[in-house]
Amino acid sequence: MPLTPSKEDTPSSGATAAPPLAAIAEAVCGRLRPDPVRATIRRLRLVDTVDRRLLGKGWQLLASPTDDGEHWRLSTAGGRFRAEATLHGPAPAFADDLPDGALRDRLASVSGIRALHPGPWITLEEQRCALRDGKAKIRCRLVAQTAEIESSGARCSTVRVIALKGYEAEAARVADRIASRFGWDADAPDPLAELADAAHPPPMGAEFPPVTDLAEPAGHALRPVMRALLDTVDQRGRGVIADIDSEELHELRVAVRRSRSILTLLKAEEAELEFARGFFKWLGKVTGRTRDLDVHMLAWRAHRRASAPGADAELEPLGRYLAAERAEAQAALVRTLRSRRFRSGLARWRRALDTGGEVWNEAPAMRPPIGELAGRRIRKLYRRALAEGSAITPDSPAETLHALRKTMKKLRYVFEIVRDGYPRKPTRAVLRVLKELQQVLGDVQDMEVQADALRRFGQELGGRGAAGPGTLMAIGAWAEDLEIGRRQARDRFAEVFEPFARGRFGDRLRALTRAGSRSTA
Amino acid sequence: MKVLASYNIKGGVGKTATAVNLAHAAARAGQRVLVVDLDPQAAATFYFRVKPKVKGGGKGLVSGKRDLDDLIKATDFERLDLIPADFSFRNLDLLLDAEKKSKKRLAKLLKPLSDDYDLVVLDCPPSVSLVSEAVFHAADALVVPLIPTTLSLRTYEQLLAFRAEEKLDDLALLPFFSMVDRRKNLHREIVDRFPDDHPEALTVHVPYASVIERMGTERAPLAAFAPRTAVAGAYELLWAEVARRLG
Repeated sequence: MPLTPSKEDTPSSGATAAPPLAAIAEAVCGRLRPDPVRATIRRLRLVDTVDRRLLGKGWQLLASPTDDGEHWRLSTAGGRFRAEATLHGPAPAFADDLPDGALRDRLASVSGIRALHPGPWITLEEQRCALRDGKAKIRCRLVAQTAEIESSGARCSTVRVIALKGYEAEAARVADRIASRFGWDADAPDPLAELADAAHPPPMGAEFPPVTDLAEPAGHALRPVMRALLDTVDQRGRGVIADIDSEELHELRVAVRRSRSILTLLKAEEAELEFARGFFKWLGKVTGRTRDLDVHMLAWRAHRRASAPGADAELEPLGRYLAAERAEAQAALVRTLRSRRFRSGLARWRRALDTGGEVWNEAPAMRPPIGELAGRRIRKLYRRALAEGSAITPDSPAETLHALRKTMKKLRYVFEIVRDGYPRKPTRAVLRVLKELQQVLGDVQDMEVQADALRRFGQELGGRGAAGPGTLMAIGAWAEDLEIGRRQARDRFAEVFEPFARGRFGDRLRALTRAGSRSTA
Repeated sequence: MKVLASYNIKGGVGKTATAVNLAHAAARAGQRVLVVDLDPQAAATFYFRVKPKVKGGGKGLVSGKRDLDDLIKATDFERLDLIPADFSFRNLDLLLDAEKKSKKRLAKLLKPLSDDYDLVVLDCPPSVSLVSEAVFHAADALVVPLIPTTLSLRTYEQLLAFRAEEKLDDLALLPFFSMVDRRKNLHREIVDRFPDDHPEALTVHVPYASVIERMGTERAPLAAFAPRTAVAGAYELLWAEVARRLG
């Protein structure tokens, strides 16, 4: 339980300093006896994923420097130890690459495909003392901490009462005495957690505002959605440049596709909308190669993890090859995201969204109610998907499934924009069917693309003499596995398409989207 | 989560010193450790300065009506917690007997703690009883301190026979010699010959040392107040060997 005596924005803010911990301990110990105070100064940094999965789980991962690397210690926010490891050499970006042990096991299950991102270095000055009872048993601990972010000078101070398991009441009594004696707020947020917040700000602009009023004119309803999507592109673009996590690019691309989907929905031919269509099309294209390589890298990591010990070593040359290819693609992408075309494109589209109210409110294409416009588009895309899917037989070429996947993606994006305007229960049922079908279509295409790419990578590695027979065989075996997986997914197509093609599903979708349209009348 | 029990049919062989010092060594090595003091004498509880009192007594422990987590007390050492003993544990046999599947009861009670601890160390009372049988079903291994005397070895043979009779083949036995005085011929002979017939024996021996008795006055594990003594080093090595054997 933290108590905050002072919180300073800068080291020179001149806030009143707290009394020494020994004096605080004497004043609040009651029937307990304080041990002598021990003071330490150490450097540390907080590590978390970009989307703060550890913080979300109530964990803190602290990294302290050692002679040849870092020591990582995972604990709960309340200070309860979970696991630790000493890392020799540079800290790995992924939990999977940590040394075998409890820390790796605990982190990997939470961080998943997300990279572990260290925050800025913090200097932590700490004074500790234990409070003991008459039998000399420690009942709780007092800790005074002053933490300063080295790069910015931002500084926080705190006095914390560390409760021990089974003796929580004693700690609560000491905290109460501190609060009444010094007036410090026992419920104040832990300043270390605040620094963690500053070090790992929550993801910005990942969501878009829900469209709940289907009677709203489309231009008016979709403008804030497009603004949020533009924020996502902008924010994630910075994340891509900093190269902190592969999901940054993924989320940027999703925002691009959603934006394109909305721009198709709004058939307005105004110059700024035409510009945005071209801009997002270009952006989708220039980000594709790096994303493909990110996916290959993630798949490689997952495959290596699943491989038998020893066999994973054969995959290392492929990993090096992919990393080099990805670094090259990433460098090109960073140039693009720093280019005038990208920056001025973002600025121009933002201006168009922020100003030009008459276009958004008055243009004929912007005036129809969003429910009507989206409903019509959803029904049209459903009819198209139904026709494309119904024509697919076990002998149909792969391209037919790929075309259906594209239609399904468009359908899903439009549906998701207006979903909050529809009744929740049938909407969830529709989304379940769409997701299942899309999953199978995705598996079929992804595994095919991946297997083709693997064969190509194998040929290139073999041609350069950069891989031995063991590696080429491992790549071949992996491509075979993917081919088997693709065939299994392909066999599932009829099974997952059937509920989508069922009359009842079509009726439900039509009823949902027409009711949305009617409610707008 | 691994469960290690410090056990011998015979009393006075150093079971509690073994449980306390191994648990402390494991916690220092980074494991999250819980000591469960099952002995109504509450010596482990005493060493950790915790009050020998359990909410609901022995019944509270075995009935399952009380969350085991509520009985846990932090010790003064990081990553090392304790479920203290209570004088009512003298009736633990009877209380266990009143429960269904009494032999598997302890294992069932410990299971929910597996997210919070890497190692549970059970400090057991001497003798063979229903409590010990419940311990055998809950434990992955028994670490068995033996004094190098004929009587002590005899009790180990009894334990081996009991394990065979009860078909507890998965239960690893890790005997080791404690209170070894290498000035005594008998001690030297027994310590040297025992591994010939018992390859499962641990190779680390804990020497006889008066400093162990100071655990009672210091009320702490050896490494906390006499870290540089040979016997503290022996327990450290013993933990390293036990950890390897536990896998």
